[in-house]
Amino acid sequence: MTTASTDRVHQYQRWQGTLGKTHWTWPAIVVSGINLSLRHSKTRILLLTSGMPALTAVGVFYITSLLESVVGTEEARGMYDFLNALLHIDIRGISQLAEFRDVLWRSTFLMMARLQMIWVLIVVARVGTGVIANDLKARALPIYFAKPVTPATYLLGKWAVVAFFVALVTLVPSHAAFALGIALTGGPGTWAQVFTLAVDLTASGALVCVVSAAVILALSSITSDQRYVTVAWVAICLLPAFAQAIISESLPADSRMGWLGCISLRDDIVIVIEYLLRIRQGLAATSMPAERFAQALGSPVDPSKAALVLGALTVAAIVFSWRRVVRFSRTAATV
Amino acid sequence: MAVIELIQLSKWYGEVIGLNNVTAEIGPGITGLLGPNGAGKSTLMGLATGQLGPSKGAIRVFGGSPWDNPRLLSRIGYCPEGDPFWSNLTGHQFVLFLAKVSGLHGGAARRAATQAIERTGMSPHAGRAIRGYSKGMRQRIKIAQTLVHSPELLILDEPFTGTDPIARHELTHLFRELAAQGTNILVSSHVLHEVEALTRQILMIDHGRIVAQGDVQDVRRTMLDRPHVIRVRVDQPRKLASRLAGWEMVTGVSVPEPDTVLFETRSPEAAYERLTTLILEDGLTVREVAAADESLEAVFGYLTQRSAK
Repeated sequence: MTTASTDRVHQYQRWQGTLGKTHWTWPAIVVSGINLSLRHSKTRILLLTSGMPALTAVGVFYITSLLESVVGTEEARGMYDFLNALLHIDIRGISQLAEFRDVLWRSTFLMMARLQMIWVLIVVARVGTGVIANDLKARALPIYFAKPVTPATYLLGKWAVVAFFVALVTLVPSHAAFALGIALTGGPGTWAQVFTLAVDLTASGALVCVVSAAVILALSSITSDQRYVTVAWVAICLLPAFAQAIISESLPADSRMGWLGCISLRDDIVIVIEYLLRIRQGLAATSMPAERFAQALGSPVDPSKAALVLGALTVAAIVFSWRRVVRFSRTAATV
Repeated sequence: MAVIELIQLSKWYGEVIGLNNVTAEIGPGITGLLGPNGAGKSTLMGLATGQLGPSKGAIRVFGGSPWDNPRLLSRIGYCPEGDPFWSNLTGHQFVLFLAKVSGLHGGAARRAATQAIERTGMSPHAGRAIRGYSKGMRQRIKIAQTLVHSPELLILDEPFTGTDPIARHELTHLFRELAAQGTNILVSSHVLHEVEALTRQILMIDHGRIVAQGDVQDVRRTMLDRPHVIRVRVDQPRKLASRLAGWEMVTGVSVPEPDTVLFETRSPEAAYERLTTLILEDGLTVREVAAADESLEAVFGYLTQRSAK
């Protein structure tokens, strides 16, 4: 043991105490990632604008509540047209509108989910693409993995950063719209009718968070150049949707219902959200005529295929990211 | 008890050998890890910090394997070579983040970060983004993150690279202080006098093998007949050259470039010490002080040949 001593030794204060448990290091990664992303004004503006679909939904809730009080009158015509255009549900001539409240709300949230996909695409491109790529670029992995950070805590921390921002543009606005809708349209009575929707909204938001964060982690672990990750992410989101649109035009309707109908990530998410929101069951329980029902929702699509595609993609993305991060952690000194 | 034990340790990357059947014990206190570039120093440090797995043999730190052992890693502070920075962070944010990743929370993390930054003399610059730091500042902030969780073992890979003489002196002082408080330090360098200023215990490696271990004076004796060339990049090279020419320990001075002085000495440690004083007295602006010759590599070559015999 070196026994050298200097005058300044006694002045040197250093931290003394007990370190936290090693598997609780991931929240530090999350907080740092969130703070770094929020420093960019474009990200903050993006998050603020993500409330627009929610405001539209609140507007729809308000209009449906007004419609309930003027049903059958001339004033109601414009409101019918508005709702029909927005939700594709023709409720003209139905006197017991309160019966439709739950299904109208669910349809509104489905419309909102479709719109939110745009924000998910952009917010993930902004905050998710660099989540691992930037660490690779900064050659920061030797510092990470010399700390008590395991591949699991690292990946969990990075995943949670992306999931947090996706939740900010999906889960948070949905629940805010839900709460505002109840406050504006009658309070406890409305709550009693639609309260199960809160659980369905949470499940829908969680689905988007899990899938999008897993996919972007895998992409971000491929390269240290964030631009390539962004291009890959946008391509994954948009190209299959374009391909599906072309295929849908050229194939007979029954062919579109199979696996060919499940190649678009966005459409798969919307199909599963539609299932989670239980809109078809809701409409079937009302007195709506069958032809209007079909007009409102179109042909039924089997959600199991879409769910299977999303599940497989998510699992593949997690396994891929895991293998990459384990490799990084074991070769960090040479990465 | 040895802090680090290397037991028939080998590490290879494909056909390239990083470490070759090394057996050694690194004791408490400060140990200098010396070797030319590519000798295997960083490989040994990567193995000691659990970032590389041994290809053969074993490495033990505090009696345990660092591989897949986060609890053990929380007892180690590692300062890697290079610039592993998120350059948009400020120095304080960088150290604070790594304090939290090391297992500190809330106020304790903030206090520890502040103390570590203060200790490395980076307090005046801690609020600035790292991308605006000089090389020396980057080294110091990297060392601050190494100290932040008060580890029992510091593993420092070329910590003096790019630092000016004053920073080098302060860091040397800091490492001595830490060692006096019971912290074990393994510090790598390819410049012998940097390590000599810290400790007498050294481990020399070359081509993945240990070529010398023990007291630095024994190694030093092999270098006595070989003059050292030191390069100083300075704003007034002619003024510095004329002052250096008057020193007994200096055997030759030249100004090969408009901002560079080269001088030869057989007493490099004394020359570095006196050079720091001279720079302060004359108010010179120095951009770099570094060993310009290959004398250490020559000694490694000599030692390698000797060990082969």
